Amino acid sequence: MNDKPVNPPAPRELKTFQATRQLLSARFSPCGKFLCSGAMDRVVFRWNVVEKKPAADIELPDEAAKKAAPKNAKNAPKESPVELTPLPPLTGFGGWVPTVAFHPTEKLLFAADSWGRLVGTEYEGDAAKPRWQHATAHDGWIRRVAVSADGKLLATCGRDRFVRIWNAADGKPVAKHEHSEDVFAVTFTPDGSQVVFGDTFGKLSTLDFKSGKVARQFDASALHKLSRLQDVAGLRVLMLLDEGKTLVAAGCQPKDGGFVEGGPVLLYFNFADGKLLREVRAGGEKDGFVHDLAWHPGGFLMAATSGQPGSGKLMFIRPEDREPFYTNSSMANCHAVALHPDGKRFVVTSTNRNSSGNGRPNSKDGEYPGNSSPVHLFEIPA
Amino acid sequence: MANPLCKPWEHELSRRRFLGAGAGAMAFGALGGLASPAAAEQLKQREKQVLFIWLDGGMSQLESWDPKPDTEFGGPFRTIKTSVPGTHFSELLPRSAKQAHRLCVVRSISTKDNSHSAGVGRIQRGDPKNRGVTYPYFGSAVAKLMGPTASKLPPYVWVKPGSGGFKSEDAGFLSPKYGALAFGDGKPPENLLRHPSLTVEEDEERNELRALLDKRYAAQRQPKYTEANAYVYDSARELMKRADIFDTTKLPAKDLDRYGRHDLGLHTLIARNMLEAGVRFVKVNSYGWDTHGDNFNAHASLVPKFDQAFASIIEDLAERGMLENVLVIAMSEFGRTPRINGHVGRDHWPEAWSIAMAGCGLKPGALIGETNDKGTWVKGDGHDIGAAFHTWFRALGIDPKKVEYDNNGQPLPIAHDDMAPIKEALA
Repeated sequence: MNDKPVNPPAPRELKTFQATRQLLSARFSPCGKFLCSGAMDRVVFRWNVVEKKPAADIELPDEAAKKAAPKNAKNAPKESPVELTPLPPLTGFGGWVPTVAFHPTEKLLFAADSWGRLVGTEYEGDAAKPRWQHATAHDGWIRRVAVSADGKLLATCGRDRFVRIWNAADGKPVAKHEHSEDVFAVTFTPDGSQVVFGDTFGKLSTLDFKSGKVARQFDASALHKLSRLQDVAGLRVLMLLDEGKTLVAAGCQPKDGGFVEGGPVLLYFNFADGKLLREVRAGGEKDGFVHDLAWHPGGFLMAATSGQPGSGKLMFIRPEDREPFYTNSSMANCHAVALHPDGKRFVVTSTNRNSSGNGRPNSKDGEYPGNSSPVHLFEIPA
Repeated sequence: MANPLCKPWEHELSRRRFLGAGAGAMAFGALGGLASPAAAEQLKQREKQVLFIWLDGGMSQLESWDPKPDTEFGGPFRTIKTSVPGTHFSELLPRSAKQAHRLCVVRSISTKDNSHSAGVGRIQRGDPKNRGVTYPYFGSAVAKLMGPTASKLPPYVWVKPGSGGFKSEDAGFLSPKYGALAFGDGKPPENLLRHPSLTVEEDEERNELRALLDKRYAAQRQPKYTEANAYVYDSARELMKRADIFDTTKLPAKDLDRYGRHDLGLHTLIARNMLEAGVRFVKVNSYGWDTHGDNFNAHASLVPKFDQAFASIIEDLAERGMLENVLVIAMSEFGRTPRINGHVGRDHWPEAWSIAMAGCGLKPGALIGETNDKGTWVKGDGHDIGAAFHTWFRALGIDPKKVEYDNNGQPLPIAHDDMAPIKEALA
């Protein structure tokens, strides 16, 4: 009997939307009607997800249109059945907004910036208002916000070396832990009693925040390299799979600083005893980092990668496999992947082509151009 | 029984490399290559020194001296107040911010090359007009124009990660003897010190033999070819007498903590010892600043380490009363692009970047020049590296309008002849 899971068909891109700034994070609301994305320029972009036709009625383009379409949209329908309609962005942030997360049941979005601000905010309507906020939740760059499965707690981590736990409803502090190094990622255990966090050096630790004890440690030092003077931190994402039995640490195995050459890597640990189960390299040495992960209920991880300018991949990989079963290399520098609650649609945020270059770039109008982020909306066919 | 004496070939690589760099050189006296002997004599009297911190690859001005918070290209970091009211640095420079009243920061550097291969040489040679010769690096220029201090220690020492030895290529058209004596990984060239199996007397005997052979060799050749050899050898012997200045085992733990227990911290601390001992020009290199990828995490790692070392040496030079005579310069070959690429990096940007300086009569607490709101271009006139060279020479008491190199009879300006010092920097 063959019990190997059946992989879904290759996703097709429905449409590409443009954000005027580079996007760092993206998540769909639990109701599926909103997409929010933290940007490099002090804002959270918002879109209404507008269904135009039922998914089953998507009309595929004719052959001529397929040939004329860009490479990454060759299977795109003539007209996208879904539109992302921009809403006024959420403002009041400083620096970058590297991380956003939705409450699982309430109409509440959590967003944190690189200047230390943490906000629990409404996200519907043109004039969404913060429900609570801390201007200095951390001293500087908050790298990740995580929400417990029951929605009661929030965890944040940052460059100030702290892991902090908050009451999600009102933002009141619950616990804090001072680590020895910059903390890059944090996630809750499924029962919400602990968090797992990881630092610059790839040291992963579990924190029982009620007792304040650091219980276990995992060695993900493959995600760190001292390159000359630079401690290159490769860790980007922590995620618990299999109801908390497996911990995955994703990022980059750096080979060098500066350019940061290195390959995307996924490290799977047995959460019970901390043993490394598998190290899966998901690309070449110029492919850089796994910047974001999403778990698909079909039993696979969706990974967005970004490396040398122009390189970038969307990969679907099963935790038990060493190779992705789907790879899309048509997008440049992917920084976020967000799965719609319907499990069919998802977005990948990337970066415009030709985003790099030394010295004065050529521009037709004489202006110095910044970069932006295409938002690629995909659908996994039934 | 094994012979306790070292074999000649055990010395061969480093000592010969060190000494041999001077052989065959077109040598001048320490100051004899200057067009004006009077100017040379005047310079000789002065004991001004230079610390040149080179951040190879390109430090981002936006993550250091010229932050643009809350702008399109500003990046994730905040700014912090400094000891100079109204002046802000990146939050990655907390200790340097407390030394701002001693610094002279130029935010309007605008240069020409956006490649490392051309930029490093062009910047460190001062980018003079092309006259068909390769100009010396700033360290070699100072070694030539000012010579050793009264300490007689080598005038141009380079403390760097990686390989050491004698780097004659820095000297350009000058005699190779004005090259840099490089302390690779902060260590003196191998076998520089007298081998422990040799007594002082035995070593002296060896030197007498060397001198005799040199004399015999020189008798058959023009003196200029052997002068450089002797000069470099003598400098090495002076350095051998001062092994204490590069003995890292004796560095105080407190200082190591202050400067940082990393390459740049250790090397800057060694530089402090060398300046105290009287080395004329010390260059400290840090590599790995070419942050095309993950620029912000890279600078979050790199800049605080630089901050530790830089602020510590400024503090120490000021406390010791040395800052009046030591010119401190921290810079790269260019800055980094305002635009953030898809790899979350910044590329090369010579158009508008910053240099931090201090001491030797430069105006303390000065903030010179300005970039526009987005940090893309210099507002008003920018300053090319030639202007910086004029400024540095002036601070060292050398007037580039009066002092020239003498390249076998060809007078050559020591800095770009169409440029002038940055007036606001000179107190």
